[in-house]
Amino acid sequence: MRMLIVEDDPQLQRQLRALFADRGWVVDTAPDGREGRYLGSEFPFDIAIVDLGLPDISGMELIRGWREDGLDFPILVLTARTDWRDKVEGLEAGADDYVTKPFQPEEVAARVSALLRRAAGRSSDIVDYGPVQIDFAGRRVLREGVALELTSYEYNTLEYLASRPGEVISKSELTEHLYAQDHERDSNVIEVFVGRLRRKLDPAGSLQPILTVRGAGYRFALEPVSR
Amino acid sequence: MIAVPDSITSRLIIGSVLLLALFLSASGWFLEGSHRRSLEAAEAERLRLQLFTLLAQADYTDQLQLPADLIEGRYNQPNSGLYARITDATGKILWLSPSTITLSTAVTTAAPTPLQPGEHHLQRRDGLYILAWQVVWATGEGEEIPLQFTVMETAEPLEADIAVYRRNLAFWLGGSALLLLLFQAAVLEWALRPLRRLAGEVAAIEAGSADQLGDDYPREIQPLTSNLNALLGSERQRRERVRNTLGDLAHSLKTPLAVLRGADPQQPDYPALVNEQSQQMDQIVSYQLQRASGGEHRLLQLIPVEPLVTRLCNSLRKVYAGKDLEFAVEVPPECRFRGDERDLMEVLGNLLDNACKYGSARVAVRAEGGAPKTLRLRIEDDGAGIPAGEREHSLLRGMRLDQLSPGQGLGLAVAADIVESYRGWLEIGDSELGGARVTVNLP
Repeated sequence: MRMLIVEDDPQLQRQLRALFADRGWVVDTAPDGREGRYLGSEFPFDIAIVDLGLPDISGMELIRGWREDGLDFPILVLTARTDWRDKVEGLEAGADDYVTKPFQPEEVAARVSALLRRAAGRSSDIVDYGPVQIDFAGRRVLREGVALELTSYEYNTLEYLASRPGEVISKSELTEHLYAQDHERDSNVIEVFVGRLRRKLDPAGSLQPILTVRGAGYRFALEPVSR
Repeated sequence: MIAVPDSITSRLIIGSVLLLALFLSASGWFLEGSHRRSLEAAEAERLRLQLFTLLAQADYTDQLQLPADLIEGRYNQPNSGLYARITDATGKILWLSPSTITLSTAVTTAAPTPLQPGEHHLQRRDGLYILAWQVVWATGEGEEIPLQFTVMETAEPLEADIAVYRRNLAFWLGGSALLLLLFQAAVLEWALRPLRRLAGEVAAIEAGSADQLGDDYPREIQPLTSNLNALLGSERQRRERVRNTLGDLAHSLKTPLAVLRGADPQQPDYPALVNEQSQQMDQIVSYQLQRASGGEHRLLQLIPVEPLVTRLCNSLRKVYAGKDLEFAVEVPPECRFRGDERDLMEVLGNLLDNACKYGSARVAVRAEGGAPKTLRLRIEDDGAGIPAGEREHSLLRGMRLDQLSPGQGLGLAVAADIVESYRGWLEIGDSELGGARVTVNLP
């Protein structure tokens, strides 16, 4: 997952970045609205966290600008003000949810997960694909009820593919969402992660959870089952 | 550019003076004109009689003859002001009254007015009213001789009469204007007295010797004074609220601070304790801030309720998108709230947020009444509801957060506080949907 954090307070920015970077996400940060506007329209983010009280252009204007540009990633707003008028105006500008300051890091993490879940069209954090279950909130994958040991990159690759069921995802798209801008991008690494994922999810080779679409990319092939 | 006077009295007086000047000039002009016309009509009648008398005394045998002793003595008297002349068809003067001796030759020798037989014409020229009458004299021999009889009378007496009339008119009209202005000034003084009294009372409030305006003002300024009184009352309440908030804030923050200072940093549960207490302090600050901001700007505007409810529902639908809530909104468009939009938004925002948080699938908002009648808003959900035993406790006025129960508590307490500042009240009951029903009553 690739996240943009627009927050002018360096301490808070660092805390939030650490919170999501620990999950192996690509986290970009901007200290003001102008840079946030540029980054948001330049890179394919999956979600953004925006502080409403920014030094140059306000968070509200930034969100409105993104939405006018046609950017539709979910946006979580941070606000120090508790009155409803500000919350409503932020949501009307195009934000999807808000968290009032001060907050617990877990609360922000939970709201971000909920927004991503909504964006992917999932109704629950735990999705059952038959022999495989993915717990998107707990970042865990179970096969036949046993938790798999996945590295952060492996999990993130699986999470990204599973969030777009049926879609063919190119290697370059995966790279953009899994690696930071300045990271050395080697498409072989993606192949290695997908290979490892396939072996861990489907050691017998009977399930075929991730299909290779020749010349185009990968497709997550498992369907959720309802019990 | 003309400077507009900044006093109502000056404006009204200037307006009245201009209006009076216009009205009185028009009246004077009309009255004087009427008087002149009636005098001139009388003069024309008099000249016609003079002319007939002259005609009766004239005789024509071979030539025109008039007796030396005319009935009207003024014809014989030089400079009498009454003159006569008779001319033939060629304009040749056949007879001049002896009084014309003092008239200028320009007048006596002036060409006769071209008239048809039987026609007459009145004109004013050279300070004289001149009536000319064209006749045809039939002699005993059957000869018809055209003659023009002209009688002239000086306009001086008429002008003198008009001058006297004009003086009298000016005296009476001017006097009336003065009286009207004096009366107008007295009326103004009487009518503006409540405004002067209002200014005095406002000054007294500023000086601290009064705390509100009287209530026996005329109907026109009663809304202003009632609104000012409401504003003053709300300002007083706000000051009190801020004072209480500061006291409550200090008191409620000191408890967690005392807990923290008393705790041992070496104990393993210290980080958890710090976390718990700082969370509580954060809640206290949010609660007290919201309480203090409620009722701050009481401008007493009429706020339509429906758009606000729609905006809040749309926002909450976004926030609680995961719950797929169904909102039933029944707010008549004419429903209005008299007060600050921000306050209504806080009340509705807190109550609707609770309903969304605790409801499972359905949230309903209904409104009835509205300014000038009591506005009743009902917010319902299909959650677990609020247990009967906790209802009264949730609505205790001026409660501090450390005394509140978690959950619905904060939002409800803030809403109750704001509603109470409008002399309204909250009621908690059971909804037909199965959960809580909070009714907001705003008089």
